[in-house]
Amino acid sequence: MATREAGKKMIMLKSPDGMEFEVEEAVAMESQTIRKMIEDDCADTAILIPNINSKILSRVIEYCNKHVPTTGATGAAASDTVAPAALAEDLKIWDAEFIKVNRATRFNLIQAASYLNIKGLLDLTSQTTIDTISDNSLEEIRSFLSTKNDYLPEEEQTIRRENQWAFQ
Amino acid sequence: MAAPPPPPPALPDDVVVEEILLRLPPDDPGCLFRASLVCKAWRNAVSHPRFRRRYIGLHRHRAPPVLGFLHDWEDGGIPDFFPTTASPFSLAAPDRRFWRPVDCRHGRALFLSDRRQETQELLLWEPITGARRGIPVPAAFRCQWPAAAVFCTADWCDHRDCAGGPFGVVFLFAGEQDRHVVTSACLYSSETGTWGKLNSRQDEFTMEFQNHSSVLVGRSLLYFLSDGGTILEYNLDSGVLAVLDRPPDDYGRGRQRFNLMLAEDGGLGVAEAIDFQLILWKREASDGTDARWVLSRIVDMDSFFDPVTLAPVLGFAEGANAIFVKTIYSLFMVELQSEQAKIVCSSPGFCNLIPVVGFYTPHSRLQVPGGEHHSPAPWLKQLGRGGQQGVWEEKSLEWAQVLFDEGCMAINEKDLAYTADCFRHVLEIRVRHYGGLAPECANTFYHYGGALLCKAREAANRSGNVSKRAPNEEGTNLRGKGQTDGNMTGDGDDSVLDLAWKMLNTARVIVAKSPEKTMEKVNILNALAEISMTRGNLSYLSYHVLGW
Repeated sequence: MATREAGKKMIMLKSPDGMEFEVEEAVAMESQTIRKMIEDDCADTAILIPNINSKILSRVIEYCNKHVPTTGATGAAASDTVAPAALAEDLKIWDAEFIKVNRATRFNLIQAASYLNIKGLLDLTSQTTIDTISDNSLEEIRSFLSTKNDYLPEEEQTIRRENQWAFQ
Repeated sequence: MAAPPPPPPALPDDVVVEEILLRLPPDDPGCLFRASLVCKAWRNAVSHPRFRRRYIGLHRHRAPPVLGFLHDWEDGGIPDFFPTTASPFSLAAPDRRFWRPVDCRHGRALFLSDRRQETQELLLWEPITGARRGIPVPAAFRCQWPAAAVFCTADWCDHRDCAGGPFGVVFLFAGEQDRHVVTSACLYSSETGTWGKLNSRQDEFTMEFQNHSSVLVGRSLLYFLSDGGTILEYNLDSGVLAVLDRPPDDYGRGRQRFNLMLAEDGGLGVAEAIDFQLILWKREASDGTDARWVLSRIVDMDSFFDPVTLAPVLGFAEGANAIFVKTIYSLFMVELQSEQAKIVCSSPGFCNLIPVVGFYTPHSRLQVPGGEHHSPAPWLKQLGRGGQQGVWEEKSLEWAQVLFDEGCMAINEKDLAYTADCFRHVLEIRVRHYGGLAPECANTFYHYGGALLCKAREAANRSGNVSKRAPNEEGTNLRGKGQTDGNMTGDGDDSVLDLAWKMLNTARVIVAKSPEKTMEKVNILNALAEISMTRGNLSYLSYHVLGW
């Protein structure tokens, strides 16, 4: 396994389009999928991340870099100590900037976060769409997400009749 | 040069849709329902059993939400199920003109048919699945206002998703025997489909139960409150029916102004509404002396809304720790932990409220019929032929397989608590269906035991040591009560390790009968050996299990 100065373990992530990213092991382990690979000793040289192109992978790494717990050399869990409010606020502002992307990128990030199992990134990337679904009518949701209504007219009628409350 | 054509609009694929929908808030179930109407792919995604498991799993760190309540108020303009959610929501509850709601717990609501009918009947309704099932009342029942309580009887169940499983019903009513007034209770088991022995006690007057529903404390104590303010305790294990004293009248007009609830420590509590305050009592038992009522907390309600006198407390939502109170103007729901109150309805006419608590996900039966992509689940196809019991068993077994796969995935993700939870559910379903020592259950016992062992190992790594204690019993009686209480909530390494031992040992007993299952035997013995070594007592394994 590649190592760099300061004794930090490094790990190589490869995207299917041939790009390679050298990242600290701790950063890569923000992904539960990669964590498992490393723990099972399946990650000796490099890990190929299928289905996630280099553009998306670099954004995912950017997120993990920012969110990796800042711990001492012993690697003690950061969750034991409450992060200062300022730090949390800083992270929140950073997240808000990070998620200013177009819809295609956002969906790609959700897909990547799902595959790599990064809960924080999943929560963050899903939030905009959750707000859309929570705050809008059915027609608006379909229109925002370019989703086609494939219910037959008679099915739609039955749904409306039986669930009038959902259309108020 | 011509500009390139704009890219086609980005469509979320199935993975993305599921991940997003999983994050819709449980306390606003209308969102999930409306999402199911966006298109058929979304509908199929949210009504799949796997989605429900993942949804409950993802939101496992929060209490299940109060979805609304059932009631028996006569105003026809108010729906049978009254939602308390942020956006509109509805459940197709039984018509209250014919069915009076009496209790709701563990994903099931109980109704009693109209008392003007010649033969009365109980109706069990599962709010999430919509399933209904009739239950006859005990033959000896002859009065107007009985009480009834429903509860899950599956061992090891955490009650976050136990609809469809075995349940019990307690029926409590007053009557006359040899010219004496008696109050009687009996217990119904869904597994036998029969009522047990009637337990009666003599009382001075006839008790009626129109205004309050029950509270379940732990796994075996049910409490009822009569309209006259008498608290009755029914012990599910012994069948003993006892009367409890009431909290003292220190604060004035007690009696009919209070309602039963669960105290913060999980024991019996009482909420009393006096003027602008909620007085919360809890029943405190101390060794060697009788239990007594102690004041637990006083919540000032005038900070939430205009100071108007509170009327009696109308209902307590078990599992969500919320109560309903009314003033002369409105009905409020108060979350006791946060002390947050919200107005639920501006019509204060309700008398007994039965809160419905749980995680809602759209059920396939709620969907529009006849969609070509929507083949009803196999158990629904059977509705016409098999009895409902058969339908539920089919459903449960299919569910068990989904859970099993989910558990295997969760163990890969090192989510051990969730893994153990999944396997526990699977075990519960399969043991019920096949029997405790059936070959079909061996693998599940092994997986559940293994998950518990991993959990204990993880806890030991965290704390840096493992207490050493010899197993105190072999414990193959898997359906025994009380063995597993609290184990899944992490009561300690020992109890988890004990349970792991019991599960693995049962797996061992089952596979011992099959000469061909050599590999399984090795795996099981390996795990048992690890537990024994953890306890520093390998001789136990050698002697009791290997027969050396």
